[in-house]
Amino acid sequence: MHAGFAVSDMSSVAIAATDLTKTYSFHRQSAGLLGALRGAIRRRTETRLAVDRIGFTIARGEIVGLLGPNGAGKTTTLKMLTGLLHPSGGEVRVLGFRPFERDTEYLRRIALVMGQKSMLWWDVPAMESLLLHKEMYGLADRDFRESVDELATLLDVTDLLAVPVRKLSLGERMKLELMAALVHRPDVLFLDEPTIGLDVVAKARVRAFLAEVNRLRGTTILITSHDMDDIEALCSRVMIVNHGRLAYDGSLAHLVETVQPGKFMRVTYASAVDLSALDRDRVNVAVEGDVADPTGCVLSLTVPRSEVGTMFAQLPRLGELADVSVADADVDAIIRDLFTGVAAVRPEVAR
Amino acid sequence: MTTISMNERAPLDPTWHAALRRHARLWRAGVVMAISREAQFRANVLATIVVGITQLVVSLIPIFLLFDYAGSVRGWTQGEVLVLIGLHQMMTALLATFVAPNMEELTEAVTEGALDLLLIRPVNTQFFVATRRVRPANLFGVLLGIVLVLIGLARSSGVPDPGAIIAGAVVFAAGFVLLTCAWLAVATCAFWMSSVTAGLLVFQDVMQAGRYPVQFFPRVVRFLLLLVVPWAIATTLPTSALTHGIAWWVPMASVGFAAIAVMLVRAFWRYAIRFYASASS
Amino acid sequence: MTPHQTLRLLRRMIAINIAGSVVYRANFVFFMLGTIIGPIVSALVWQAAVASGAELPVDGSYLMTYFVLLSLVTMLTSSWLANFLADAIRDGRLSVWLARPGSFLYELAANNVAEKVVKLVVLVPMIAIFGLIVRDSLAVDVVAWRWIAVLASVGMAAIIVFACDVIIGALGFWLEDVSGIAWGQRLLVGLLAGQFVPLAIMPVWTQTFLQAQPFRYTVSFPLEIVVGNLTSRDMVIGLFVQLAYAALFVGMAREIWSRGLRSYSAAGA
Repeated sequence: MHAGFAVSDMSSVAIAATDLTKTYSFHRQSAGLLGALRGAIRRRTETRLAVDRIGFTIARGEIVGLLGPNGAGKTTTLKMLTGLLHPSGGEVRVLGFRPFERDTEYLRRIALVMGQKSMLWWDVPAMESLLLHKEMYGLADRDFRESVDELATLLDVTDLLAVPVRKLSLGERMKLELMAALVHRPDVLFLDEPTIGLDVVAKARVRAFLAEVNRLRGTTILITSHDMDDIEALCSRVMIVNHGRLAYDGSLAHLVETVQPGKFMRVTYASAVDLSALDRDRVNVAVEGDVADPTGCVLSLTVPRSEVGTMFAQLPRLGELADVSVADADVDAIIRDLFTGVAAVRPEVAR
Repeated sequence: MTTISMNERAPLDPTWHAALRRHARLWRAGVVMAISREAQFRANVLATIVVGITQLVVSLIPIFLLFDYAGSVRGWTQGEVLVLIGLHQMMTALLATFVAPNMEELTEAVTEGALDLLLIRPVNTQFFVATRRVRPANLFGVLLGIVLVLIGLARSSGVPDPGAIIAGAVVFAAGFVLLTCAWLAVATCAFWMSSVTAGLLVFQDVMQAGRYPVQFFPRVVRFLLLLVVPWAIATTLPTSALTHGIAWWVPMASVGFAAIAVMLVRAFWRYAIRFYASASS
Repeated sequence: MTPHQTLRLLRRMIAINIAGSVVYRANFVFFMLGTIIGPIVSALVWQAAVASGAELPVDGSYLMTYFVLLSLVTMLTSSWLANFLADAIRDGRLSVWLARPGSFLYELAANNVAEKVVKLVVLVPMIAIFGLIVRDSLAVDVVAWRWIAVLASVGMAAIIVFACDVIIGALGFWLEDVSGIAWGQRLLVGLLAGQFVPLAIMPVWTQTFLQAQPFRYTVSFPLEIVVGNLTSRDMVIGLFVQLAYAALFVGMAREIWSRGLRSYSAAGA
């Protein structure tokens, strides 16, 4: 993993960024009439560094996750890669093109999916939107047909193509969005929070589909997310962005090993609880109420990811189980951990 | 399954006319989709038709009154004004079908980020944004307009010769392009202002001025109706072409004027996108 | 609630609504600009007609003054609540208001008055400019006490329009979609109120009907007092007729509203 790229490597490199930087300048204005008048005469310009000299290389066929808390610069970086934003500094090339030049030949080779924003037309069947895409990307009839059939089978949506989009569930709509994004066989697929708002089953389907597309077509995929499970299921490599800087760039396995984010489990019991069976060295337990209370109590557990399965088996034995919820350690915690010095991570950081 | 090896694709637009054809096919696909969509909402289509007829009838009342009291106004007879109103009706119906729905959406697209999903497409974004939504139900107004034009011609100068019809059609088309450009210019301000909805409403109110020959207005207003919101070219001149005939250079000048407007509006759009790409987040 | 309490409540509601409306003042600028364009166009067109020798029942200055002041009077007497009311009935928002002291209608009235205050501030300069440009053609010949009559007339006209709007909106208690009716009513009333052309220049055979129908008293009558063709006797009679119509429409509105509320509550919304 090195920043910078050699021209001779062009054929296998999908995305290459060097010292990529984005600053915004904005005018700070006081509220009210006086502020507005003052602002008309002399403006105070402030700059904000959104992306600070990020560099990385992504090879063709890789699936890479871009992880980071809100406001870290993930979406800004993504927008610079797709040509939506002009970088303030540094160099970036995708498939050999400079994205912000928005060359037609570049745009036809990429695709962008943004969770929450739909590209499908609402009142008509998805097939109509696909036909529009066909014209937009200049696809030949046969290529279009083949691509549609392939994707529809993979996503299991063949029956849904003739249904008006507004009548479909959120999960079904997301599948069709992905289909629309891939019908023109892009070389690179950019995804911005693709599973946001989806239920667990739908998320799993999306991830399986993306993995399959990558396998079949060799599509390079870059996903931004703050959902750890997305990254874990799909990406062999993850880049962590924080405060506009690349904090980590390496394999996910390595990250997980070193940082060991846990899962939070919140368990509600309807009877008295016997904690003696729990290994308090491996599991962090906090109790709400009293374990001896016969009407029950609530336990908050921090469990290593690998132990969640065994923990589920143990929970019913502790008492009469009423409710369980499992949540991720949040990304902020991971990143905090990263910075509070798990030193073994250092060698893999791209700097 | 085949994996297409990178960069081995025939160029999308090998020539400029290939690009034109691709955009034309894209537009046509949009029209097909719009018809399919509108066919689902038949009640709305009916409502649009009823509204159109009623509005036309109400707007005709002042004209009928006017010519009860005067045989001609600034050289225009009732028949000629009816032709003009018919052309105005056709123009507003065409704009409502092909242009209006897109102008309203532009603000939303900019502020809600839907524009991003359009900017990554290998199409001319300005063209796509201005033409993608179509409301075919409004085409009924074109029929109404044609009927009115025919009635007006019957009452005034009779059927014009083919040359006059062509001249009128050319100027009318140039007027359509000009009005679209003016409208688009207002809508493009959405990149800097949080909402241009109000400005667009005013623009639509100015539509009313196009219902009368520009000669009805004082010189200052005529100037505005030529250079700012070009109803002079959109309705008055084509009417003159059909009724009296116009000089040979007028259609050419209109087309030239329209071409300049298109260039200006494109430059404005490119400036707006540059601003968007450097300032937004 | 006593009348005193009601007035205090109304005053507070109006204040809140003014504060809320002021936020949208930029929008109001464009909005008012839009409403003034129609009358300007009409004024210029009729001026051209007069210049071309049209022999109208009224002279050019009547027309010009009429159109200059038209958008002002239209704005002051306007109401826009019908669709909003029907929607609130349909989606149940009305229930929230019914639980509070002070009728929903008072809130709507307060909103109406408040927005007009802000619009007035925006509109008057525009009309002043228009008026200045054409001041040679204007003929405003109103003695001091006639202005009181004008103000009273505008006030009653606003009440008539508001009551009509409530009636249309209240149809939402029984009808699915009121927007079509509201739109049609707006158009019809606009015509009969003299918003498109002054009633005075409508064909002679329509005059008796036009003078008698209630919608004359929404926009046209106040304008007629200013523009000057009414004798004092006609004016006083007209004011009483207007008062009668106002009472009639308010009565109808109250009746329909309370019937609607009864059926609304019975349905357990």
